[in-house]
Amino acid sequence: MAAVPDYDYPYDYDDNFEADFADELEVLDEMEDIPGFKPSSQEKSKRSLKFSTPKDKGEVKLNGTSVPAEDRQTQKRDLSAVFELPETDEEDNVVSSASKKRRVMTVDSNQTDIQDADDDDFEITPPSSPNIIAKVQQYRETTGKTADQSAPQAREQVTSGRPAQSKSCFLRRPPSGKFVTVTNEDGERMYLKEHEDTLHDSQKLSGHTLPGGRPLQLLSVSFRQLKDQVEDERRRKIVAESERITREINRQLDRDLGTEDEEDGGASDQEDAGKSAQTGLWVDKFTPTNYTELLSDEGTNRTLLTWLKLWDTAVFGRERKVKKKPADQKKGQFINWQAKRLEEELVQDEDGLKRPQKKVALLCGPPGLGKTTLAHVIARHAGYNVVEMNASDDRSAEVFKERIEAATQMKAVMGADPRPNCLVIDEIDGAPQAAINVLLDIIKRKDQSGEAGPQGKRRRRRREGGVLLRPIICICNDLYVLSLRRLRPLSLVLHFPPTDSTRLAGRLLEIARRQSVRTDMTTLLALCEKTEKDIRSCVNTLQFVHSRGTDLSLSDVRSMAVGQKDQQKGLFTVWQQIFQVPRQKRKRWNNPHDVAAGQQRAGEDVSVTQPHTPAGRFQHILHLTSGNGEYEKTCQGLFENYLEAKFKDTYLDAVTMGCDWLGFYDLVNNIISHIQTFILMRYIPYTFVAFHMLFAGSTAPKLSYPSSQYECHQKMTETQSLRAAQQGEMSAVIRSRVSQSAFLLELLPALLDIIQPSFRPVNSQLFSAKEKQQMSDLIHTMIAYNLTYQQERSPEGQYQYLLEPNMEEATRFSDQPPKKQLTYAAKQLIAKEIEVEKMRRSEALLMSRNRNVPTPEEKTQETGQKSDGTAEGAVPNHLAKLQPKKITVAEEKPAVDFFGRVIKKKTPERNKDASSSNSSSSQKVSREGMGTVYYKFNEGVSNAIRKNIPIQDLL
Amino acid sequence: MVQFAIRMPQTEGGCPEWTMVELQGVLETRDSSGLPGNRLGDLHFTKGGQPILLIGHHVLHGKVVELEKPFAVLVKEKEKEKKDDSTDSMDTGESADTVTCSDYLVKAVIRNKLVFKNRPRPIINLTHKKGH
Repeated sequence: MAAVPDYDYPYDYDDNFEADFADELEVLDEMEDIPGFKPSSQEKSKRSLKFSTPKDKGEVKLNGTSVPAEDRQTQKRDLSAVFELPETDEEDNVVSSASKKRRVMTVDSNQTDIQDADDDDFEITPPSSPNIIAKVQQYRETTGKTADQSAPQAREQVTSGRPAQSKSCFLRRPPSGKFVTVTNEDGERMYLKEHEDTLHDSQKLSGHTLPGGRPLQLLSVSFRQLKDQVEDERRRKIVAESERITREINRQLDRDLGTEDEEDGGASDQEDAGKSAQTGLWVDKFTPTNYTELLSDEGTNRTLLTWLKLWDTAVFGRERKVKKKPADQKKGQFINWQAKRLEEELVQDEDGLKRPQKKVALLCGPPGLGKTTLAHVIARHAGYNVVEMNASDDRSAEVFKERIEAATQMKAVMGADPRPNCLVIDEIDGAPQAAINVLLDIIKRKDQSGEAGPQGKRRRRRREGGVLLRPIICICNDLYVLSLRRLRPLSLVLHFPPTDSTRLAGRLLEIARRQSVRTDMTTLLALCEKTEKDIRSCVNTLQFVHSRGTDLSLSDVRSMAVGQKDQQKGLFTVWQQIFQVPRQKRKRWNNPHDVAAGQQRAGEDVSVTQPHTPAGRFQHILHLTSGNGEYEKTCQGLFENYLEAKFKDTYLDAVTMGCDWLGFYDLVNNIISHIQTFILMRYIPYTFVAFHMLFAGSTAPKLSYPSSQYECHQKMTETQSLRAAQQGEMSAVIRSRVSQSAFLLELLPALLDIIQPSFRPVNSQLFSAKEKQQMSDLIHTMIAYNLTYQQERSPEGQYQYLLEPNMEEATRFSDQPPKKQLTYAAKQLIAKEIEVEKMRRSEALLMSRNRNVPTPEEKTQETGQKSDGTAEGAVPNHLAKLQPKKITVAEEKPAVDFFGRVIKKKTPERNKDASSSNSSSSQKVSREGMGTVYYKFNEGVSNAIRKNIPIQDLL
Repeated sequence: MVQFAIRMPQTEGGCPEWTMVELQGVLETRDSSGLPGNRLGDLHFTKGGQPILLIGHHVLHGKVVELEKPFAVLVKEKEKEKKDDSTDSMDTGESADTVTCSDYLVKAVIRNKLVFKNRPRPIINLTHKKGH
């Protein structure tokens, strides 16, 4: 930013300039007539300063970038361009004389300056600039006009236009960016804005093209490109330098903190470590990669590995001896006898395809114990390629099947070391039942194929495609999820015992040492205890502490709300906690100041840290029940057990309030299920909180699983079906008048009393008339209500008559004493009477029906006779059938007279007299249309009629 | 040996030709009147020449069969005993021996017969409809 060295020089030059261009100045003076131009005339002199500088060969320094040579070059280029193409985009550059070269050049460059300065002026000195620009433009217009009018004048105009255009290059305030300070003759300070003229020039140049289409330039590579290259190189250098420096600093820092990892030798490794410490989780970073690094229980590890090794024969075709040997070696101090026994069991059973009996290993245990890690490490250890399916994956049955089959039947062909797959299904307890069924199918399928194999080769081959030949390891938190019920017996179940806290703490200490977290073994042990030996939680806590940049102390661990998992508690736990006031044993985790802080926070932490205060209890129960989520079952359990809970309530206020809350629960639940407003769901847990507040006692209550709901529902359906059975056959008159509920609640209880009148224990024949009437009334009533008595054999072997359908059960509450029953004999009598009455009725019905049917026929016949012609077409089919009967009757008439004689050829002659006597009657019959002769067909082969004729007859 | 004299009737146009009806079955009467004098039934021929016999409420479909050997229907004439010796085809030697000699007149010749072998079909409905 060197200021102009001397400002005298320009002035000298200015003097020369004025001398040189006196005639042009004259023209300018003439132009002062143009309105509005005068005010700016004062600035002309100042402006001359500006464009004088480029003119001077030595003064090109104005541009901060010292590229005078290039500048001049471009100026020349510019000039030539202008010369060759007189009509440039600048309206005023109508220059035709070669002598004006320099002038034109400066004008050109100045114009660009002006334009830029105009822009800048707008920003920096807004008040003055609009005026000036307007004037300049105005002037340009006029000069343009004059140029058109007189060509000779053009030159002067151009030169005279120059100072006017450059006037805004002088700024009274320091502009933004580079600028040069100048003091004029008045002692006023002006600011000149610096521009990269070269850039503009080159930009302008690129606009010019030669007729051939080649860009107008002197060098083979355009100057701008060259400059860009230089700039790029410089930037690259700077970036490299800065990177080097930061690396240096990081290294220095690491060394200072003592975290330099000895194991990671290379600098690149160190970098990775640094990055992962910032981005990744320590849990991932310190995940065990070897079998020996595993933290989990040795016995579990070994069992799983043994199981996996059992697949070797099926998968790798190896003999088992190979793997048995190391097993023997290792058999030493670690293995407890249980694991050993398990192992033996495992070794014992194999099936036809040399696979272990249990095709699936099921790892279960609370989160954070390293189940997934174990599965991965062991599978890799045994030479498998681990394919994991997680809860985040799609778990519909089809996808599940597809993926299982893909994992178990395919094999990676790419890669240097293709290994067989081992499928690890994580969090299988979250999978739907359908998916589990698919898995079961696959497991069982092989069994079938193993059996069906010998039967037919073709069949076997087809099935072999589906046979499971790869180990599957399933991981779950809760083993007793309903969907896993069928999988359990088929799989090798491995319970994860809690990790040994000393081992865990040791590992944590190592991690802390590596990551330069200052802590001690006691603290870490406390952390382990607090997180319930959750490895993941411990490591995360450690990382969290590290990220805060503090050290982990014992008090920190105790006050921290870490390790509290959002774990689902069982229903019994929930009920128990609702009905029991928590003891204060957990208080030891609290620091005195934490209590105060905790109340302010009033969240989960409070409930966790101080569950004995009412607020804490409130939050705790809320959290617990909403975490469990099974509101329906929870509420049922409360309803079933709350009266058994140990609470003191003299006036039953708590009970009534509890009932109110139950009512509230029902209401909310009803609305939720009715119109699906699940937003109300959030209010449900408060019912449980209220129950806890009302009924919680200090001792653990005896809880029973809620079964009354189910029982009641069962009973209800039973009763409903009974009622339906009875009402189905009831007389329609009654059925139409009685609603279902009214029938059950109002009618039936009374009815059962009504149908039990007192009878004398005598034979029904000896009943008095009144008794007989009573009896018949009873029978009618019972039939009307579809009731009867039925003999049944009780379990004790006694026979008894019971109502059928047995509505007594439907109407009587279970703790009510049974009603007085009729005697066995009376019931028997009634049952018999009912039976007889029913029969009688059905008979009567049948009779009436039979009687009824002919009468319409007769009627039709009568009417048919009246209107024969019309009724003819409308004769029903059954009439047409009936008619032949009459004919047969008519035929039977002669049959009555028939004596059963066999008519032979001889007989006619003999009975000639008799027949002749009857001929009159027979003719009468034949005249009616039916001959007396009828034809009797002889079945079978017809014998020709052969008859012996004595010769006497012929003679 | 007995000799029969069979004579051809002295009618113009030769002897008449009859047709035999053969039934696989028995004709019976409902009353004891017997067959003689009673109307047996109706015999129809279809356009194709198939005979249809209606007996009572039975329909019999038969066919026309040509006899291998034609039959002759002879009528014995006792009155003209020994009046004229047979001049015909039979052996005459026998007739000479017998004292009482019958005379036979050819009533007709049978060349075809109508055979009704099939099971008769009832015609109840038809008759009923007719009757109704």
